[in-house]
Amino acid sequence: MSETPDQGRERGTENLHGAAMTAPEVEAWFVREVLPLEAALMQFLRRSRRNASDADDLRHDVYVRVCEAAQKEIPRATKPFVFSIARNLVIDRARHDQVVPIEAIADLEELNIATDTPSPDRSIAAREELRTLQSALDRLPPRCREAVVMRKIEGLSRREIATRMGIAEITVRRHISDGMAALADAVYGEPPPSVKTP
Amino acid sequence: MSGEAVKDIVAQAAQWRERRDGSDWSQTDQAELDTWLSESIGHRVEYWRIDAAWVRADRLGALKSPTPQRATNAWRPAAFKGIAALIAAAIIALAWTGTFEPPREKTYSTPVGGREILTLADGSQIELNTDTTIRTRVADGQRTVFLDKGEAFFKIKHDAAHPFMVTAAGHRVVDLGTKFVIRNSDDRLEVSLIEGSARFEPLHETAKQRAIVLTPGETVIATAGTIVKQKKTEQMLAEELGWRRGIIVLHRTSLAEAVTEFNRYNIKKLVIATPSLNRVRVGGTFPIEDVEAFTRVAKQVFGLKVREKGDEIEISR
Repeated sequence: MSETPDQGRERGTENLHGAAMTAPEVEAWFVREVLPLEAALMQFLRRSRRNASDADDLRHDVYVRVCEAAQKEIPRATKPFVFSIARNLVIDRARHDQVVPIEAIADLEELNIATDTPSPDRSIAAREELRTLQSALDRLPPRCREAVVMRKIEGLSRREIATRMGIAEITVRRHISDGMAALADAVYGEPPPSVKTP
Repeated sequence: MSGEAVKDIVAQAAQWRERRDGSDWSQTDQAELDTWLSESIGHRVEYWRIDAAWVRADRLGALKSPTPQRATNAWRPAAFKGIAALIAAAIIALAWTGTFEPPREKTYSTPVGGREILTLADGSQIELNTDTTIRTRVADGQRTVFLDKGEAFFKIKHDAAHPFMVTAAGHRVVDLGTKFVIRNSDDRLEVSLIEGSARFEPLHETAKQRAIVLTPGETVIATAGTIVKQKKTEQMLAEELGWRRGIIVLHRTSLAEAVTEFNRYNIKKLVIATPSLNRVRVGGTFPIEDVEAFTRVAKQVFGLKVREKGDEIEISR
């Protein structure tokens, strides 16, 4: 029969079960298994809420609840766990606003299927990664991008960047921290740039 | 939620991360960061996220030109474009499908609630819906599939020399370069053409029934003794094919029909206990295996009673 995609279970998670988790363990799991789900999660949250800014708040709440649970025990299947928490939050909010989130619940299922598709091989994945980063970088505001490029690609110090851009060091720092937040949104929260298929 | 605005937490997390990169980062600074992190799990998740993205961005270093020409500010975007083009050229779209050559005849089936995609050796694809059985004979230039029961979506690689044929319930669909869907249920056979063209014909031609050539959007429904041809809009077809995306779309559908549709996909069957409810119209988009999403709406929106009784879920007023 056709391939049954693996549910995204990472090997090595198994032996972590049972004991209370340390922060580095939770962090490692969170970065490896939860953050890659963010694009699908954001899509789900955005569609299920009228107010787009709600989605960022909900994302935060989902992560908080997910990691609270993970501190006690790392969930066995990350994706269903994350999305059931997201769904419950959306339903709670909807109930509060007296809206029945039919489409929201349906979207969740659609997304599950979309995110279950097997991932391409590693070399493709590496190029994909570069494309994602590149397009994230392209979307930064120009001054912010300039500062991030000098810092990250050219490896210049804050002072050198400040001199080159003709601005105060404190402004360079603001550009870079703004850039970090925007990059995180772009790298995790946005769907990857589309690749043409034949 | 905590009192802090998420936006502010994210901004602070980024500021901490930026500060940590500085050459003047001290143990005192680290202690301060640790304190901030220990204040709440909300701080930690945002910091982890920013940190992970920033570390990932190290890969951007791969874009560094080996001999950076820093004479002007304009070199960087140009270099990016060049590299982007190289990357784009290097990306070979890779269709990851399990291609295999089945023996002369092979049977495939899905359980209730199952869904599978088969890729035949010729590149044609067959997507099986719930509770479906097909047999394939793809060898020596012969391409025949028997849809014994259930529903399947066909995306056929056209080959004039080797027509693709699907046989179901005494009829045959001959592909002329096509996407189509066939549903073979107890008492009726339904064929809808999505793209291309196909011929619908009885297995044994009689005087009464001749071949029908289908054009996109056309549906043939064959029941015992009758054949009806219908025209469907693109939207109707897309909704009927919702199962391929794992959804059921209802549009002013009677509750009775909606229940029948859900029951195709779930072992736990819905039952309407109050006959007058049969005609109630319902609408919405629902996940196929999540009967609960549907019963929740029945409860919350229609104020109906939903009760689990063994293998059944009873809906009543």
